[in-house]
Amino acid sequence: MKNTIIKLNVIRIIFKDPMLGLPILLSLIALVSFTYFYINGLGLSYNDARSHLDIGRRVVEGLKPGIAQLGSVWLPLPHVLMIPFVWNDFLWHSGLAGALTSMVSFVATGIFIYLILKKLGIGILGRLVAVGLFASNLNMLYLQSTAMTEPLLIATTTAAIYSFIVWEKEEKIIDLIKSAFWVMMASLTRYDGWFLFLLIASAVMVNIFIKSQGKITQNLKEKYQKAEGLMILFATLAGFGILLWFLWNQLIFKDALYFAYGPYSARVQQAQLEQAGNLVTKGNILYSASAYLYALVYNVGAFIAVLGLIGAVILWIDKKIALNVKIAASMLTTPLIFNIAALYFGHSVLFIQGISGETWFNVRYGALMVVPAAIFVGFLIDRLKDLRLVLIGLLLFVTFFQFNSLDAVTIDDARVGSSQKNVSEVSGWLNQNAKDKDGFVLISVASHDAIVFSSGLPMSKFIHEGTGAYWDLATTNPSHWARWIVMRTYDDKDMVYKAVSKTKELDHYDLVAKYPFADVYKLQEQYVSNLITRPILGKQK
Amino acid sequence: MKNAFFLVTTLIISLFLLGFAVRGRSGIPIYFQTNRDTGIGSPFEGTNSSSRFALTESIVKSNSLFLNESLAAFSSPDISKINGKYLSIFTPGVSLIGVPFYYLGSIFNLQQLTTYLSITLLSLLNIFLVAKLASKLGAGFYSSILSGFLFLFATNAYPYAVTFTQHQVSVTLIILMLLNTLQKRGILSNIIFGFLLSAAAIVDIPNIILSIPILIVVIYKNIFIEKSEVFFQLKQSLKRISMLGIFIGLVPITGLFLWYNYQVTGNYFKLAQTQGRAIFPEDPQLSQSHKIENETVTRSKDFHQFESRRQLNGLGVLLFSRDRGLIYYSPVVLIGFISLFWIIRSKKDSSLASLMLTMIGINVLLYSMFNDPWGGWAFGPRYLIPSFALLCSGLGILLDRLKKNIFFLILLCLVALYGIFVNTLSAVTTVHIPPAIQAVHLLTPIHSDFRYNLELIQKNFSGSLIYNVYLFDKITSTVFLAIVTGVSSCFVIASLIVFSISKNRQ
Repeated sequence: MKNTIIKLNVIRIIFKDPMLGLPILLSLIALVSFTYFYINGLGLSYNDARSHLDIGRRVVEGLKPGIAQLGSVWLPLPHVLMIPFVWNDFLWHSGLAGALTSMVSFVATGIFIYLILKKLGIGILGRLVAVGLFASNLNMLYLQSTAMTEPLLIATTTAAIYSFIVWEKEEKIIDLIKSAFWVMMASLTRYDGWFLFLLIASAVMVNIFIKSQGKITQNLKEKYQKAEGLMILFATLAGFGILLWFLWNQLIFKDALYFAYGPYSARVQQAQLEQAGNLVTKGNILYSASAYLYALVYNVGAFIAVLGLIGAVILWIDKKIALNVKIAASMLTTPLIFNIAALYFGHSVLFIQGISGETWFNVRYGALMVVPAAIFVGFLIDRLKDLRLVLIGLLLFVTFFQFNSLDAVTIDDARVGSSQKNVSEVSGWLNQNAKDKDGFVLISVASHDAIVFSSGLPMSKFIHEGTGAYWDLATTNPSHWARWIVMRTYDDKDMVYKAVSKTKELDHYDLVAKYPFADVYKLQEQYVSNLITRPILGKQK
Repeated sequence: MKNAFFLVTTLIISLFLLGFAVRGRSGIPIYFQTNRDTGIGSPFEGTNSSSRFALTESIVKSNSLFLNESLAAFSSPDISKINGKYLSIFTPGVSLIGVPFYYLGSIFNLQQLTTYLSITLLSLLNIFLVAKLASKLGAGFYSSILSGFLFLFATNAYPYAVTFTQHQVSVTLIILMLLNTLQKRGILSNIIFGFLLSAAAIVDIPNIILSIPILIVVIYKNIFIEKSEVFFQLKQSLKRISMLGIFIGLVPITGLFLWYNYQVTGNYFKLAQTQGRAIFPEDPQLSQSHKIENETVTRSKDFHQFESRRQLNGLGVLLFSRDRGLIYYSPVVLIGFISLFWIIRSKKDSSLASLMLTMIGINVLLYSMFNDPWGGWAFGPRYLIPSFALLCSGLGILLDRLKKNIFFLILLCLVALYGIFVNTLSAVTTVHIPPAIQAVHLLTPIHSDFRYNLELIQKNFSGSLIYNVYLFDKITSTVFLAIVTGVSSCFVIASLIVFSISKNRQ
């Protein structure tokens, strides 16, 4: 009897303030989803997920471990957050080292969705529906089960916008600082965060003028001074991550813009795609917009996207919400603007099956709009009181069918699209033939990080671009350093082939395996006696 | 008196319009009664009609649930093959409804005509069911009847009133269920509800999904009772016991359905549809490729009849596409949607309108996820006909409210007349139009929308029995179309004028 009363009280408390139960529930959902996708072997389907895990691993293990392994192309925060876990072989190879960050991000995002709607004055039902929509989105559930960087970006962006809304409503400087902090985190996660920085910084300026409209005592100069001060305060912290990234590139790669113009940059990849005629969105705003809108709809669901759009319109015409708060809430649509602009300017690439050929590529970018859609639908549910039950019923209906058909476009993107890379044959060969033998494998991680990951071999077995002197020596004198070479023969984009083909030492190797993504060369037995099989160079600078 | 006059006028005009749309051609006694011509404009032009008719004929003539080779050829590809025997791919509901009508018709050697008449009569009934529903929503007498009339003649319901398909039957059963829901719950109303639900299922499986909201409301009304009522506990207990009525009502037709499944598939719960389509006569090469297709696609683990990713395309097809979109074929229902929305926003008790809106949402969303939202070779968004009935029933109340608003009346008149024209065009010619994606690949490409019907009319073609038997020598089919359209249009215009100048709300 006593136990029953306690249980009932607990339920009552949780129902009264779901903030107590929400983290627990979201954590359970996150864990169950991870387990499901892990068991089904989908957690590491994204080629990029394996590369992210390898980057984190190289910081703690390899021929030249260290913080410099964070590299120059991908922003460092997701990999830095992996470091405490990725040293462990199980956490590395299961993907959990990266998925942990994603799962925590998932839980945090759910909580921030709840808080944003609370701050907008939305009732408990609208808040819970929004969190429910977010947490039952199969694409989100899949992404939070992987080592991809989108969940972290979504969490930091949502947190930044939440703090920004709070600042707009309550005008406490600490909230603006919090927002700046989360923007900084977002800007260290993905380049989308840089755009968020620009937009929120602009909104800070604009909103100061809007807020002080009623105060006739303030003249234009005073308004400007206030806006300028707050902008500088915000930008100093929010832009600190971006500044650090420039500095990092300058210090490590001797070029502050190495991430943008270096040989591994997205720009170079985009140029290759453009050359092959695959960058059709560049310079075509309609095509860019339609490509991203398709990605959005496939990730969010057509019905939810339509409801979200109606919710956004209703939010904008709602007289109860101040204009500056509306502007702050509109920051939620940053991914929409950013992605369309990135496609238009040719900084990004997105393939939608049926629209741009028969494959998927980067369609997961549409998942960035799951949060705004959920929030706007939550808003709509609150405002359309008479239609609440109808809408909730229909949302349950479409969600049921999404689960029934396990319809997650991100899984297709990872499994069958251009983002996947089935390297099991070549990595399996390495695992079978190189695991118990001495000697290093010479490989380019820029081209074949997935092979390194999937081989199951320790990182210290590989000589790659990030191994300093080992790389320099092995690419000039491979037969002394590399027992195996993995590369795409005759492809100058493969850094190993590009270097080794000039040495004329390839004759010392036999082609032992040929696969779609790479060929494996093995040093002939007569040269093995001269081979260096131990890391002899000591700690490199 | 006025009410009775309006009711009788509506009935006569509706009978006239339906009669003019009945398919047929001159012959002895009438072509198609024994002839199985599946050409354009014939009652057998679509295998969704002929496959159901074949089952009816097989039951009556051969006492068999299977189709002989002749009937299989006639119904292919809407057939399945199990253990070497052919059967209709559809659930047997519509065919069973046709059985007594077939018997009746065979006395006069008019079996096709009378069998199809079963659906036509139900569609006539649907006018008044829609009107009843409209009045339950709060609409007046005239506006309710007009809503029912617009449902049948200004939407896709009209051309499908003269086919042997599930759409009109589904409308009848769904509205009857809705009306049943409004009754006080007791053992009898629950038995009737169970009966209607199982009947809806045997007519078309997706009806079960459409009926889920109604079922929830019925269960809710059975479980919850106002605490303030006298003898609260006793009433509560009685109500809960009376819920058994639903199961009792379900038994006869569900039993029949399970028995049918067992007879044809060997499994009580296996539907012929799950077996996939067969082709008759069997072409070994075609059959092999068909088998492979069935195995690799239809029965693949990754293939689902309803998949959420198709929503975007499906919604586009059902709502906006030129070949099937609601806005091109039945735009009058959009006013019904606004009306239902308005009812919910403005009235205290909007539970019926909410329930209807939920069902409409489910109908649209369900078929937007379907692998064939076009409905094969069809006319307009035929899967949405049940929604059109519900939307039109909402029309009445807005009409009552805005009957003095000239802009509203003009708008309503325009969309209604447009819908009447487009759907009459199909009713007197054909409902057998390919979707755009198929139309362009035909050896002789044709239009995938009502422009095809226009072309047929311009070629002096009509599928109408009355036209072909009595009027073919006297007037062109264009004039015939003008007469039929004119009758319904004049009725709508006259009704709206009289209605708008009448002083009191009926």
